[in-house]
Amino acid sequence: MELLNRSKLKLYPRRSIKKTSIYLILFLFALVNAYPILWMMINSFKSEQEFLTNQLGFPHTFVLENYVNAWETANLGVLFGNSIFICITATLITVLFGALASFFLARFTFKMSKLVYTFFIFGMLIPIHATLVPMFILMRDLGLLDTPITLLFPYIAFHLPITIFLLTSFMKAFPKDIEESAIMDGCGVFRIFWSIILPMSRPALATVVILNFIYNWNEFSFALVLINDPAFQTLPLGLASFAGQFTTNYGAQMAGLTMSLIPIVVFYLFLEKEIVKGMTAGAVKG
Amino acid sequence: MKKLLSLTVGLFFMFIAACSGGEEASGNGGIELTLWNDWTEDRPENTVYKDIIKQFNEEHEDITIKMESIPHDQYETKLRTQAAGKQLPDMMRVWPGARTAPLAEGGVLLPLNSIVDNWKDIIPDEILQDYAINGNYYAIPSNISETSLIFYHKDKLKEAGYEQFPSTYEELKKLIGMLNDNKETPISLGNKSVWPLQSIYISTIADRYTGSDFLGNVLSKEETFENDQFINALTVIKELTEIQAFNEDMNTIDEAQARSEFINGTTAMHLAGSWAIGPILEGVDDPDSIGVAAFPSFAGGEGDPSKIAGVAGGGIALNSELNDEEKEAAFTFLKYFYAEDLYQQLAQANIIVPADIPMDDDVPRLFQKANRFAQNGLAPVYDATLTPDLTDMINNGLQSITLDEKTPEALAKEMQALLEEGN
Amino acid sequence: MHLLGKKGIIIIGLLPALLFYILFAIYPIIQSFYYSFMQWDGFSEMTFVGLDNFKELFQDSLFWNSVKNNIYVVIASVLGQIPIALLIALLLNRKLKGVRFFRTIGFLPVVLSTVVISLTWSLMYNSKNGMINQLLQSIGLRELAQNWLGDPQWAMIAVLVTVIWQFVGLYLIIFLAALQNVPDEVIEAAKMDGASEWATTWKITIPMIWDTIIVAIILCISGSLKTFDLIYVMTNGGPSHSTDVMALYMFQETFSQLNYGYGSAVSVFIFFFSLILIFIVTKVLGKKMI
Repeated sequence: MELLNRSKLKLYPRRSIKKTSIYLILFLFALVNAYPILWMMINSFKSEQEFLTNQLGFPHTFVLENYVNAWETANLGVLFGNSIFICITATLITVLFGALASFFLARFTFKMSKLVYTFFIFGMLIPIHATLVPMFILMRDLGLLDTPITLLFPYIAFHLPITIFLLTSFMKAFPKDIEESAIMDGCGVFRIFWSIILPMSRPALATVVILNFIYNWNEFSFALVLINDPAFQTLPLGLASFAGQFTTNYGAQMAGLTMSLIPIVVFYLFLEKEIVKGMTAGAVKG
Repeated sequence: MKKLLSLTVGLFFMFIAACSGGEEASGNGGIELTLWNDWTEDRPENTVYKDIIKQFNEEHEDITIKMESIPHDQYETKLRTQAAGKQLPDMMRVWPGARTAPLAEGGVLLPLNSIVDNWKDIIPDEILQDYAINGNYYAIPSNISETSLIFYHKDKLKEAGYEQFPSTYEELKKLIGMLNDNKETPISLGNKSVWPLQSIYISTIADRYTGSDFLGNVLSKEETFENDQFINALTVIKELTEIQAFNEDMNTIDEAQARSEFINGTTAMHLAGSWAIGPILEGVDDPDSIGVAAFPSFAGGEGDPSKIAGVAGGGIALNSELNDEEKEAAFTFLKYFYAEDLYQQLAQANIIVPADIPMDDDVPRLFQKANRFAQNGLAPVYDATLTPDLTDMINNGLQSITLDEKTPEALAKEMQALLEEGN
Repeated sequence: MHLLGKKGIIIIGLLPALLFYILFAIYPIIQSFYYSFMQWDGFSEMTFVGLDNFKELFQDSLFWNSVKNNIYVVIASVLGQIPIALLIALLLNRKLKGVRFFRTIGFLPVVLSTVVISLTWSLMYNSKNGMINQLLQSIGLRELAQNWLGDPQWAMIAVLVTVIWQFVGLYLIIFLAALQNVPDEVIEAAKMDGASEWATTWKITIPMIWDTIIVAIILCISGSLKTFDLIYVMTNGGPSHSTDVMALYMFQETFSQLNYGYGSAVSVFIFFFSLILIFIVTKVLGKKMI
């Protein structure tokens, strides 16, 4: 009895030390990560002059006009709409096609499966700037320059590799007998995909959706060269327009960047639940 | 997932609806010309350009200029990609020398020889020549970019014992010494993007040593970069670094940051081009507290000490594939655009213009003085004259000199080697 | 399931992805490979030069300098991002108060614009009034203060720290997703048997997500070898080429110096270099990825 008590006594402080150190690490991590965002938000309220003289402190006067200016000069309203449309559409198509391909690559054995898989991986190894000129010429020849859906094509094509790469590795980990029992029940292949494999892949799907969305949201180079018409431009181009040859309006730029961060953070919060659902719901896996 | 899907479909239709509704009936059968520019930023000169174009569109029913603005830093990437795909716009903003030459030599730009006489009496031929390649004129400049002005806080120089800006390099070094003794950073330099030491400093310093014909002679192989006078010019950068003329973070801040250090009064001097006049005048409380000077003279130099480096500013070039009708429309536009009205308004925005226009007394003195420098003739600007690979080499080489990783002699030698290998 | 039917279904399943991918990714990539045998300034006619671009590339000391720097990026990313991300993911996979907050914050750098990252980190690194030097000074370690981004000896290290910081969040969510596949029951059972937490982590959790770790390493290598954005805005390869990397070198050759062929040769090199590196890593870590 005494022995037990003593060990409990010993255990208790050790536990709290452990907990404290975990929190300490996490707080440190959060601090380093949050600093640039806070800095951006604080500076989005500074005038151009104050940004230059006082980069670290709080603004003396809050210049709310930065937001109005940013919204108007860079025509952010239109750009937001375009970005949201392109991002969501491209992401959905990429993930749908990618998941379908991954399902066959991960769950079926056929002669070419390794080859096809490797072929998809190639797409992850090319710096995007090397393809700008050929992509431009290709889109020109297809008559796809400067349309509302232009950007969907390169975005989908260039993000399929990472989508397939992540999803295949995740789907491979499922136990072998899933389909077998489903087939016994008389399910078709696509039914298995839609009602069994997709729901099981939720965390991985959420991950690739987030990744795709971020990549598309921030993508700059293709948007720069493939689109001329201001009506079809996306956000990153508008956000670059605050910088001139010799001067930059940092206040407005920070305001624009802050606004552009909001949808993506909301989107992330929305999907994050999917990634970690298992944790709170007490995962039922495999 | 389903919610998201229906959301997208909904958005898609909204988008299509918005597009078809927003379609403007363009130019009722008239000619539409696209104009690419880098006027994205909210600055006085950009507003001037845009307003005049708006006015032009209102006054000309049969011609519509459609502007497409691309951020400056990305402009070149976009232009070059489109050029490779043979999809250049009808009109595009260009910069003189090495940035236009490949386009002109590639035959994608239209020579303006037939209308250049229109500006003969307004713009000095010397400036028009900046856009001449193999005898053809390709653009009309809207402004002059003096690249080497010295801005200084009058009171800080006074504290160091100088009423006037030093007229010789030896004196300047003494001034730098005095300022350092006063615990004052002498010159703010933002060389992160590596062009300032070349464009602002070497363009004029080398001209003082070698004379204005040197660069042309080197490029035509009558002279070499290993010339002692050129090496002397490079050595000035080394010397200035050694006597701690610059802020210690010079290689990590950009030109605009260095300018704001100066505006804040953290440093006594700042070397920049005429592009800095507007921002400096806007930034300081009392414009008269700031002085502007040309570079001092260098003992033993062979160049004209009254010259400073400068080059024509941005102009508008035309696509060589315009048909006759479009060509006429474009010519009409250029004549309308590059007229006294533009130059007046630009001067009011503190932009140095190539045309000689009358100036009121309310024009800031700083601007008036800087404007006068242009009249002594301009020395060539290095990055507007050299090929891109040579520019790249001297830019990075000068930075290496400030870091003591390269000697002036070695840089001169490498540049000569690259020049010889290039042809 | 009949064999013929199965084949057909597989083809139908792969087709949409393959079509998009071949037309809009592989075709431009092959086109770019084709340019690497050409001399082309982007305006005039191309001329075929065979392997000249590659010959020149292998003798180009500035290029090799960028390769060297790029290898640093790969090493720092693999050894920095992955362990940190794994540690944080394991910590966040516990039932702790406020996990959600930390998870969100942890991911933020990934979504943040490189412009903001570059501005804030440059401010922190500034030699005169940057936070890092002031911190060092205030704890009496003045001698350790450096001109972080301005000194060629330190610039790469400073950039690497930022690169690591930027992408920890990416691997963090990948690991968090993978950890969902580790059934709680297994961990509980091990704990019942008296295994310490340390032991369960090492002996059960990590092996169970080992495949994902390899996936992350491959992503990390391929991402690092084409790293561009952050370095482009933060230092643009300087000072005096000390932070130049391959993709940056390729970009400059192509768009500033108008050597399309030469730039393409660099990207061909990046491609094969990544391929070889990934092949070696997967062989060493014992998984048949490719």
